[in-house]
Amino acid sequence: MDWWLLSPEIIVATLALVLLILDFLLPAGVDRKKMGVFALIGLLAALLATLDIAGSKGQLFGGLLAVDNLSLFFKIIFILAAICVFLLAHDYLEKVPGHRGEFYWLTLTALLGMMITAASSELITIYIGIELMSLSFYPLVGCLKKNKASTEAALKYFILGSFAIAVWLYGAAILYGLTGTTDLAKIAAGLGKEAGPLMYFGLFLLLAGFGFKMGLVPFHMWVPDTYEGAPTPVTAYLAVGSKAAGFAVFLRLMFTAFPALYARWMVWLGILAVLTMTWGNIAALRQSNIKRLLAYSAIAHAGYTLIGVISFNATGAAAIMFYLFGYLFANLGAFAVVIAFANATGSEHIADYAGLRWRNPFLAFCLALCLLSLAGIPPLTGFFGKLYLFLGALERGGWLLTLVIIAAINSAISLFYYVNVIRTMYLLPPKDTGELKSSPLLNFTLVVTVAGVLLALFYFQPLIGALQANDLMSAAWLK
Amino acid sequence: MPWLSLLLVLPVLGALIIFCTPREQDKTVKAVALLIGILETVISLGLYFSYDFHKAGLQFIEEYNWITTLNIKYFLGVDGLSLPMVVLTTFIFLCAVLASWGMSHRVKEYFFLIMIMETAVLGVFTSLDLFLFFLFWELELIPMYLLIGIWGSARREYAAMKFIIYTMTGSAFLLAGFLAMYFLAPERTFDITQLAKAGFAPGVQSLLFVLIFLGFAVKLPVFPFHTWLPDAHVEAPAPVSMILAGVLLKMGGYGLIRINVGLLPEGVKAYIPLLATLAIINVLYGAYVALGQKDLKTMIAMSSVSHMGFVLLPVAAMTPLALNGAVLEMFAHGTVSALLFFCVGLIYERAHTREIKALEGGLAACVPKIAVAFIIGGLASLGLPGMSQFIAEFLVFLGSFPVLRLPTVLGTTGIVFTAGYILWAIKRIFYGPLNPKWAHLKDMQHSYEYLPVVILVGLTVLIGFYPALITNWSDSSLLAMLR
Repeated sequence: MDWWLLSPEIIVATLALVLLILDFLLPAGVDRKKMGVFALIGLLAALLATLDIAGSKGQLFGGLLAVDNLSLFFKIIFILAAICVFLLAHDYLEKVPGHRGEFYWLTLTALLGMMITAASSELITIYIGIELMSLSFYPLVGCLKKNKASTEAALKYFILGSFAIAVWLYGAAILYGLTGTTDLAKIAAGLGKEAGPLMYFGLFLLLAGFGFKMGLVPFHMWVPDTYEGAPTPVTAYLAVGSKAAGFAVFLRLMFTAFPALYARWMVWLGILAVLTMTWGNIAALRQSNIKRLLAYSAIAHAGYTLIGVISFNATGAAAIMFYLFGYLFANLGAFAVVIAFANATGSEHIADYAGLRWRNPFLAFCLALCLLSLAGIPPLTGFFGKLYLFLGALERGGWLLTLVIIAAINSAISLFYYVNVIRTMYLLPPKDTGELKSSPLLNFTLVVTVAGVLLALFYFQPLIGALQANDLMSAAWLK
Repeated sequence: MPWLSLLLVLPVLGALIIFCTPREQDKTVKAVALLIGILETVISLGLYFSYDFHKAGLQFIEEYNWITTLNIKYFLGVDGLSLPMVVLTTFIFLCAVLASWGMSHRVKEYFFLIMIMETAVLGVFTSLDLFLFFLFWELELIPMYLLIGIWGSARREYAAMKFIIYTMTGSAFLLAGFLAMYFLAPERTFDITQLAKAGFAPGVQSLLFVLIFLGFAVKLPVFPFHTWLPDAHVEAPAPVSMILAGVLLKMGGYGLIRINVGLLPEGVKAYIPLLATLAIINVLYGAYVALGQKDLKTMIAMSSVSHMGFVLLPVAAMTPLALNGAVLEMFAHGTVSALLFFCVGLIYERAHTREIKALEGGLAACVPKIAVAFIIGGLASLGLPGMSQFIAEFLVFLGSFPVLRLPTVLGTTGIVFTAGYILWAIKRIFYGPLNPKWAHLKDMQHSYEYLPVVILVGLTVLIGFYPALITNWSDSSLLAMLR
């Protein structure tokens, strides 16, 4: 076994443990900001380690973890997200004195969970990855202990999340019972051509479990409340990291274990995708809280992303990867502005963003760009992602053309609420004319994310070229 | 020298300079915008007259691989169909910049957005790769939203939102159509020149036609997708209305001819009766509604709907003569409607109302120059011989009649309606005894008020007397396209 391939995980795990021990050893009064700097350096090392092994292929622990383009690319997304979250949380954590340390190491264990989830090619490892991630997220969501909304969000997330993972486990158990293996590739082999109702039931339960993680309608109930109640950096992390992890493993599961049942599950997923994007967009229309708006927008985006799985080809898989990469920048940028605004005013109401253009033109401009990217306006990254998803679907052909048209019309609907925020910032007069300051660290994060949003014109080709150059994962039929 | 790229990059450059100008320096901002506007016009004219129309076909081609994995290219080029539109665009933007000279509210942002718009519109007219085309097509959306939403009049937010939702829904179909075309072509490509040779089956063409037509129909606009237009045109500030009516509608017409007629002729043939009917509804319904308008600006907006029917009719007829008429009509209507909107802007600036009834009463006595400009525009709009729109509509009728007899005959009656509402409005507003309420109004004074009128009237009369300036260019390209 090539341990070098495991280096990103090793770095992150060590980092998490060191920070955990440090947090316990240091007396309560000591400032823990330096721990954040230390973690950032460690994350950069993990990022470099991942980039170093980019393009390599292999298996770890006898096939429990796969190292391939799919897992490595998602690891890069997760690490980037974690870095941004660290930058975003730095000022925000002033609000929760005493919890800075645990915030840091929980973020890292969640990251480790995501990395394992994305790489796992076997049901039990998937379970471990998801649980590591989820159990880290529950306390993170509730880390504003004095805040009722945060506690409620954490509780809701915990109860529903535990239920979902239990359902998932039941499904996994059925699969194991029918095929006698937990290895995804061997499940595909054991499945053969024929599948009984019990198999479909198991698959359905798995789908429900993943649907929860990805925030698909009708498993989305937790999303708005949790997103709203959680501390905003955690919300951003949930929206980008947790969701991407769900998609990474879902993609691998469907592509490696169930290619034989494609004709059946593509219909299920097609219905789910239409429901998810339509409901997400319609519900977002009526939101007055920016975090709830972004929560429903995240649901809608899960619907679009699902198209990539339904297309069931290499383009679709690569499209999901690129889409989530672009989504990372646009979403983190939007949340960065939400954090900056809340740091200065304490408000999360869209109405309070009135006239932001006069109070801080930079913040307004960045938020506008990120929202337009989410809406899929060219030449921003969201447009390229959506386009690539559509291309994958049309490559498959058939009724997926209808799905593409529905998704495109949904983008037009989504424009309504995204533009409404821009309208509030640019068209309405400010209620409070005082200048709104944002910290240099947040501004720096914003510059990075907005660069990611704006420069898709230039990085689209190199990135998808690299993604399509080697096979994404070890699914034999994908070649 | 990559002239077309230069044409696209200059406004962006201008926008960046404007972006970096300190906030109070309105003069500098305006000067930069004007300079860019002049440079663009000069370059476009240079391109126009150095285009060799005897050779026809695409010229000034720039082709680079961009997204090789998906075979998407940065592919620019112009022919006799797009060049008139390019020249029209640069002229209208120059006039719009001049017309905005008196602007004092959020000047920096305003000109920044105008510059981005210019790049977007020129990009649509020059790109030969459908992907690039779509990119520019969408790029125009948000600046327009903001231009209407920030600088518009009372119901601006409603109008701006309506504009964006309509256009974006249209674009959804457009994108679906482009992507479907990409996959159905023998070799996956967005390249218009290759797609023209793809030889899609008639059934496929009619499916693609519907998807793409829906996108362009919203923009042109075609009844019943036109309802965004009166709102947007009326609420937008005068210079933005000039751009909207002058060039944005032409994007729809250009797309119809370049893509629907050029790439999907069988698709057009499948829907000739429907297209002809829609065209006639556009002409008659638009004119009929214009007759009943109380607001002068809504009246001109509805007249745009009516005139765009004369662009759709040749698409249904698909004869070279009629399509030449369509290109000419787009150019002519671009200048004429811009002139009319500019005049309405001047009147509104002075009288603070656009209601025909309120304005009634001999304005010609106190603002004779504005009256003359408006009357020239009005007469051109109703198709007075010697003006560009007469030739255009004449060609449209002449070309369409052999193919579509009844619709053409019905279409000609639209001219009567047009004469009705234009002359009626002119009579009520400018003639009759002077209303003492308006005696204090001042006439045009500044050069930035004269210049747009001079440019637009000049173009109208020039093309009116010498239409070969457009048709020589468009004819050979259209013949090549229809062959």
